[in-house]
Amino acid sequence: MSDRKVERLINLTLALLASKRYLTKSEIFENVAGYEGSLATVERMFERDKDELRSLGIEIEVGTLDSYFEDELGYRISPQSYGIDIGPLTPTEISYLSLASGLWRDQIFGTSAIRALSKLSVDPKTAPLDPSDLGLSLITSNPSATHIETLMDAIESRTPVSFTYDSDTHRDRSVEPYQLTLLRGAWYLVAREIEIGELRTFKLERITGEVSLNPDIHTFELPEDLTALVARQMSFIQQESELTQVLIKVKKGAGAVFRAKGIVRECDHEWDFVEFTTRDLRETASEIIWQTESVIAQKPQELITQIHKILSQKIGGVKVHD
Amino acid sequence: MTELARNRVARALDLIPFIVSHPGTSVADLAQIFNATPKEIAKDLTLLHMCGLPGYTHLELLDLSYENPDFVEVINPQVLDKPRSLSRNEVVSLVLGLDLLAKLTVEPKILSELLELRNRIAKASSSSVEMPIARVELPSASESESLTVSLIVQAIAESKELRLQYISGGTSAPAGKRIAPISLEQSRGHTYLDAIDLELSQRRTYRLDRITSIALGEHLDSDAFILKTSTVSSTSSSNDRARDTGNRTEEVSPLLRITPVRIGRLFAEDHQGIVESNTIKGDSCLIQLAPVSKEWLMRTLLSRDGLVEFMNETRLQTEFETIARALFRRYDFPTEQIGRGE
Repeated sequence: MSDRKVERLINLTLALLASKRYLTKSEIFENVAGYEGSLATVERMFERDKDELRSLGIEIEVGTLDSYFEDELGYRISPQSYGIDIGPLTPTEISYLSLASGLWRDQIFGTSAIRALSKLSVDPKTAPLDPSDLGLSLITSNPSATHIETLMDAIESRTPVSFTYDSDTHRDRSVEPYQLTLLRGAWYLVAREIEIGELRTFKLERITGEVSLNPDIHTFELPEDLTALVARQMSFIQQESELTQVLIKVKKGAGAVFRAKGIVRECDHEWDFVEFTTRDLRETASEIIWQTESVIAQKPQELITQIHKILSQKIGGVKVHD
Repeated sequence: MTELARNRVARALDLIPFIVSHPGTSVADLAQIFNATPKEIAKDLTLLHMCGLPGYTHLELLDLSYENPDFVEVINPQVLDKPRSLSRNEVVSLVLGLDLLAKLTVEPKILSELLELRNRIAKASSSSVEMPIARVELPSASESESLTVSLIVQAIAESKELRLQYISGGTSAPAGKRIAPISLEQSRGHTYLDAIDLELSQRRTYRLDRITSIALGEHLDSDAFILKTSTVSSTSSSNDRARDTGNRTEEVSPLLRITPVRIGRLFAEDHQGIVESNTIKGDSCLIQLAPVSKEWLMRTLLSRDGLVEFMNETRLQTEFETIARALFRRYDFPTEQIGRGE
C-alpha cells in the first residue's frame, strides 16, 4: 500500500516537473500511474498528494491553461523552483560543506545539515578532511527549537510576534523580529519592541510558552542598517565595552583560579592581594562567593554591590548582627 | 515500524541526482549517506525502477542498474538529474556552519573560499546574503585561550593525549592531568573541553579558562577511550562539575525551591545531569536533585542569583544560611541594606 503511494507521488512529481504547460486534473488522472478508482476517490488522493509534496518543500504551481477559460485550473512544478544549482563542487568545497554540517550538535539543524549534504550530492567520504577530525562542536544543543522555527517564519514574512519573556521588568512583549543570532551556544532574537519603539535583544531560552505570530497588527520592513544595529545589540550582550580592574584578598594556599589570572602580592601572613581584570563583574562576584571564606573582594564598589545583591537573597531577610 | 511515505519519497527523489553524480556507489554507502538501512535503499531502488513519465514505456521510465549492490548507477534520470532545492533549515544549517568556519580561520585564502561557497548556497536558495534571518557570532577569546584551542584541535586531529595543569573550582593549586580530548563545547559564555581523564579512565569536562598550561603528549591508541564503568559515560558537563569539588565525603539530594522561575529554570538547564524533576509552582521552581556533593551544592547555590529554600531539610537550610551570613559579615554592608533581594 505504502509502496503504491510512494510510487504515485514520484510519478506525479516527474509528470508535473517534465511538463512545459499546466496539466489539468483530468489529464493527471488519465496519464499519471496510480490514480485509480472513482472520480471522488482520485480527487481526494490528488488533494492529499499535493499536500504531501508541498510538505517536502516542492512548490506546485497552479495556473490557468487558457486566459479565456480561467475556470480550468492546471498544475505544474517549475524546474527552477524544484532544483538548486550551485554548480560543480571542488573536493575542497565538499570538505568545507562536510565540516560545516559536522559542527551542529542539535536536533533541528543537525538533521537538516545531514539532509542538505545528501541533497547536494555531497559524499563526505570523498572530502579530504573528516569533520570529526576538527573536533569542534561549538554549536550546542538548544531547547528552543519550536521558537526558532516560528521566529524564522516571522522574520521571513515580516510578521510581528508576541511572547512572554521571563525578566524582572515586564513579561508580555510584542516585537518586530529582525534577526536570530547564535552566540556561545545560545540563540538570541534582535527585534524592535513595538510598545517602546526601541531595539531589544531577547534570549530565546527565556521566552516562556508559545511565540505567536500577529499578522493582524501590521507588516514591517527590515532597517537598512540591520547589520550594524544587530552588531551593536550583540556587543551589549558580549559586554566587550568595559574591562574592569578588580582587587581581591585571597587566603594563602587557596584561590588558584584567581591567582592564575592576575598579579599576586603579599598582604600579610594569612592573605595575599590579587589584582586582575574582568569584563563581567556579575560572574566575578559569583566566582568570589563560590570560594566562600578564602576570598574577599576589595575593589571596585560595583563588585561588592553585586556580592551584596547575591548574598542578601540567601539570608531570608533576617538582619545580621555582629 | 513502517516508514512514512513522505520520507521515502524525499529520499528516493534525492537518490537519483546523487547516483547521477556518483556512478558506481554501493548500496551500503548510499545507506550511510542517506541515514537509512541497506534494505531500505534496495527497496527505494526497486521502486524507482518502476517510476517514470506518463507513457511508462522503457523510454520514459527511470533507468537504473542496481543488480550488483556494490555498483549502482543511473542510466536515464529523466528530469531528476538536478538536486532538489534546500529547505530553509537546510540552508541555515549550511550557511551558519560555513560562517562559523570562516570566523575560526585566519588563512585569507580559506576565508575567501568559505565565504564564496556560503554566498553561492545562499543565492541559489534565494536567501538574503546581506540580511540573513540568522547569523552566528564568535565570543572574543583571549590569546592564551586561542592557543589552547589550537592545541586541543591538533591533539584531537592527531589522536594525541594532552597534559594539563588545571585548576578545579575548590582546589588551592593547579593539578596535573593527562587527558584524551574528545570535543570542544560552548555553554553559558565558557568553552569546555570534553575529555577522558587517563588516570581515572573517566569522562570529565574542563573549563578552558582554568587550564593554566597545556602540552601535547603521546600518541593515543583506541584503548584510551575505553571508560572504566558504564555509569561515568554521561557527557553532562554539569554532572562532572558537580563531582569536581575535591570534597566528595557527603552527598545530599534535596528538593529545592528557587525563586523566581527564570533563575530556577537556568539552574535546571545548567545542571541537567543532576536534576531529577523541575516543577513550576507559582513564581518558583521546585527542583528535585539527584545525589550530589553537599559542598559543591552549597557553593553553587550561594553564588547564583535568586532565593533558595531547601524544602523539608531544616538542617541544610540552617547550614546554608549560616555560611551566607558568615560571608556577609566579611563585608561592610550597612545592616539596613540586608534583606531579600530583588
